Amino acid sequence: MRELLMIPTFCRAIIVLFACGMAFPLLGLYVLSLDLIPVRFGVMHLSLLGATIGIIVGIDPMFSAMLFSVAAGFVVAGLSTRKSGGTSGGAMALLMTASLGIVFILFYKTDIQAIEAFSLFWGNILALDREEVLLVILFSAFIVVSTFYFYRPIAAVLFDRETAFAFGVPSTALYTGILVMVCAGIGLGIRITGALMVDAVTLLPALAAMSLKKNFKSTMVLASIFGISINLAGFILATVFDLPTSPAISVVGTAVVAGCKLAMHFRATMGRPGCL
Amino acid sequence: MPVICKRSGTRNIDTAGCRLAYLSAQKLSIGYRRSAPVVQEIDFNFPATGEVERKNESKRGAVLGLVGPNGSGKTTFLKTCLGLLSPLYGELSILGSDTRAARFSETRKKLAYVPQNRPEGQSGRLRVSVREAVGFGRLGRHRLGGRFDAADYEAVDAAILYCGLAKLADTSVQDLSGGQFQRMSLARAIAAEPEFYFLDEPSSFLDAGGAAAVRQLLRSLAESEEPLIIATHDRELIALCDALVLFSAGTAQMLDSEGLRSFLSSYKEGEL
Repeated sequence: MRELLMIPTFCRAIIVLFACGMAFPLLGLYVLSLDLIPVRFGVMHLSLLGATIGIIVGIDPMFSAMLFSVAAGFVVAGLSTRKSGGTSGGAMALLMTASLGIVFILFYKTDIQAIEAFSLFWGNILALDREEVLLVILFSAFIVVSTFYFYRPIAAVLFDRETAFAFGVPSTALYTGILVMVCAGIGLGIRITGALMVDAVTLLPALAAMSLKKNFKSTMVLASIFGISINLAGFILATVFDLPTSPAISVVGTAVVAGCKLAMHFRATMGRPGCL
Repeated sequence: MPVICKRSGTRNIDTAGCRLAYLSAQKLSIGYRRSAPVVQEIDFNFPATGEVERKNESKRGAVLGLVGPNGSGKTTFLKTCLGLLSPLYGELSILGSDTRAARFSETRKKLAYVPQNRPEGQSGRLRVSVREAVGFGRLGRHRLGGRFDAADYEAVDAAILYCGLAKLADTSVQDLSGGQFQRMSLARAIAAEPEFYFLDEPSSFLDAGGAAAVRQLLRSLAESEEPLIIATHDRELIALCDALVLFSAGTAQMLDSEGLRSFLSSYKEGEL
């Protein structure tokens, strides 16, 4: 293990897993609190469109995919206006279908191979270069600092967007900011763990923390602790048993969520009168 | 609110020293689409022009009731007053400020809103304590990300105490009953130390005990200097009102004091 830590690729992977383990579960809490589950599916499809266009015009597909993810945040926020009070589900389904349609038309009409665009979606933590590592660190720091600094207004918006607005909180701007941050995070997470397992670094630690039914502040801290632990445990497991990293992180994350839910279930059962 | 709110006695006075109407609607149409307004041609001042001078002498604010069947536009009207919806046509001023003007965001900080209670009595998946949720009412007094000071904590604690939630201050709002949740909403509004309260069906979906506690709070709130607008079907709350606007069949009509008395004498609970 000590020899492995001397290898720059492994060091970079550990730094990235630590940084995103601390920050990305906060995005997961936003996703769960605002019921944005369909958004992440939509962002994945828009990222695919971005990557495809990037390959066609000859720019880094990772960069164009990220660009499309951020744009998705603004579009969804604009479509789910505060006046209608609606969620982003319908808006995202629309974007998802449209982007997938355009992607397949582009595959059909150009020479690019579908596998080339889809390869972005597998992700590989060991293939990150220095710039990508720096990007993850800066973005993670931004998530943590902005969440800490704007904690109260963010909590008010997550609690009830309309009432927060009525009390003078700029809830539309905050909601848009949260959505853009979530979408950018998912776009970046795709590069780290792959599209299919981006939930492992965002939703699973958040789910585990929420299942313990603590207050929001404690849930945030717990989600970050779970995130770091799950990422590093999954990485060690993958290294020791020669497994692919993302699936190992997903399995550890799922086990932690199951463990937390079981613990809460037993706590509730033990608390019932006449149990013992 | 008698305990917390400042009684400056200079609120809502224009530069010439004349008292303005708290709310003024002129040829106002409200709704979600211009092609299908929910209510049209709303035209009234609150307090009514003749009442303004009389209110000037009184320490007590005024209570306006909005009554009418479900779907008649009461909540839409409240949301338009708060700037959550724009007027479709006509003009609406709150505390002398046009709701469409850019500076209305400053006026909004002087308002407090108690939304309609949800039948399930909880709010989303976010677990925040009662104290924290009541504190959300103070956010309009600070710039975004501003820290709370001693005055904020004092106002939050006083509002919690006033609404009888001291023992539940650290309880998660998800664990509150419907009545307790509604008292938390009232405490949040009181903590804001507003100049104008807007309440949407404050006693709906509550059991008898919960509704009685909310009514008791509203009775004491009605004695404060700040005006209240209450959308309600509750006869006891209607009886608190100084004036009434009746929403029905796409119109809204303000009843004079004679009309209010006659409405109350013939009104039966659940009739609208």
